[in-house]
Amino acid sequence: MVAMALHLFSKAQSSATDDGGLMAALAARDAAAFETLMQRHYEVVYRVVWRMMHGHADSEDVTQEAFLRLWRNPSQLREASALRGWLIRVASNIVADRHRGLVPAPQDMPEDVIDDTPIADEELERKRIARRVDIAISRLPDRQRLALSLVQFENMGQAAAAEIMEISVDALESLLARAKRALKQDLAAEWRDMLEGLAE
Amino acid sequence: MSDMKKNTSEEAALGRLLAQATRPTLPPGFAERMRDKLDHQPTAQVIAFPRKAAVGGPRANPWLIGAPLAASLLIGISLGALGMGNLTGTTEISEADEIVIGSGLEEAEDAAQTDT
Repeated sequence: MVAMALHLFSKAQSSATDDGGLMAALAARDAAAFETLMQRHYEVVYRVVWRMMHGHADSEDVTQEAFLRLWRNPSQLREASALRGWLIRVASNIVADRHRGLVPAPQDMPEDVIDDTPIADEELERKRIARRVDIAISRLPDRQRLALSLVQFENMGQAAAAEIMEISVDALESLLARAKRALKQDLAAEWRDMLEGLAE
Repeated sequence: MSDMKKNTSEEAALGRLLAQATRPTLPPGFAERMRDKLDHQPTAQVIAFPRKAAVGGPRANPWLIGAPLAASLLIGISLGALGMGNLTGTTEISEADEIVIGSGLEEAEDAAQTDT
């Protein structure tokens, strides 16, 4: 009996703290619920936006805008379980809108990638490779970069990533294949050097 | 090396390179900045429009409207039954004049003849 009561209690607690319960609270303008949702999803959304924007300083601004849209009108989201995907979709749409106005040069990498402090050769080599890979990723078309970010860097399943991008799994696979082909071509000249650098 | 093996090794090599890509970290103070933005959000302003009074109003007694209409209907039926429905005073039916609808063709022909 006690075990059943405890089970029901924990179930009630988890339903209050899962995205569905928090979304219900958010609809009643509960700032604490928003805070919890933000802590839960902000980082993933930020990382995706960061890649989409080539690490531009506006990444934070775009991420915040996506969350503010949720705050302003939580009823836009029909299924609370799809919250993370919805936030990523909104954020990537904001990025696409901004890119229509101004496309940052692929070489515009973030300051935190360029570090001038003296470091060991091995570390320096890794940083150089990271920077080169970042640049190659930033040269991909928006949709290919988003697909790669979701699947490769956020470890999402293809079905989940396809749902976020509102495309079929086949279309997502096609985007991923083209992205990888483009990366291989872009890095072809330094391919062997970089792999040797990693092996050392 | 077969194509399949080559592709697999290339895929693995690309995976190793992609693993080197920068993993962005959240900028410090992001939560405070988010809260600050949230605090400066304009609150929703709901403007209540004054409700228009419904015609006849919900409080109006429907019998007050219905009773005179029903009485008028009954008077009409009874007057009709008594043959007193025609209040114009005449019982003759006058014949309507023949309706002539001009097509304009005759006028056009006349005009053409006068021109020649």
